[in-house]
Amino acid sequence: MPAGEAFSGRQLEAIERALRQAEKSSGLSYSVFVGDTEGDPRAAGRRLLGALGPKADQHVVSVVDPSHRDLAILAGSKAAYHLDDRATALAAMSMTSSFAAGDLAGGIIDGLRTLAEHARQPRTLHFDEV
Amino acid sequence: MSVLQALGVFVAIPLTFFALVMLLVYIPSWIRGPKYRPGLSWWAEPVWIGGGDPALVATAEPVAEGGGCSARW
Repeated sequence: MPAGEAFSGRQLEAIERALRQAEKSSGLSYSVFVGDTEGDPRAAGRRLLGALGPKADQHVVSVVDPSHRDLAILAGSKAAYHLDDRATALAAMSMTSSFAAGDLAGGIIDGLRTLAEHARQPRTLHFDEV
Repeated sequence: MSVLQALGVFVAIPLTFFALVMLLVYIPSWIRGPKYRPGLSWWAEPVWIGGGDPALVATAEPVAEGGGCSARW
């Protein structure tokens, strides 16, 4: 198949809207990478986090590799306090169930929504130190 | 009915009709462009939505993540 755009304009808009909403509701920043990662989306995600520089701490990147049918969700070191592995696994499940049906954009939007819903503020244990 | 008329009625008109039906069937998918189908190869350029500068990725040092998960479909 010829090289082209992964998403239509309307799909891109919907994904960007979901990204903004997720950022607004959870306070973390999100991005989605869709492309070939040579079968190792986790390594690709680490490089993407590296490219973000100091912003990587508060960032959650979802790496979707449609050619290898592989997905990785990586949370930066501070973002991981808010998003435990159970929450990312839940988001991954909602993404992959849509991907398996051929709906990339819908899966990404569902996954972002799940991530934002489960990103919680960590409990404050020492009120006197706040 | 001359030969030319017969050709027109029995060949040209049905062919035009078939072509019209074919166009009506294919036009929506031409407009939408290729669709992702699981199991077939991926055709599109990589995109990083909401991320940083894609040019930096090639030279960026990998950063260890704080958490996350992987999945396949």
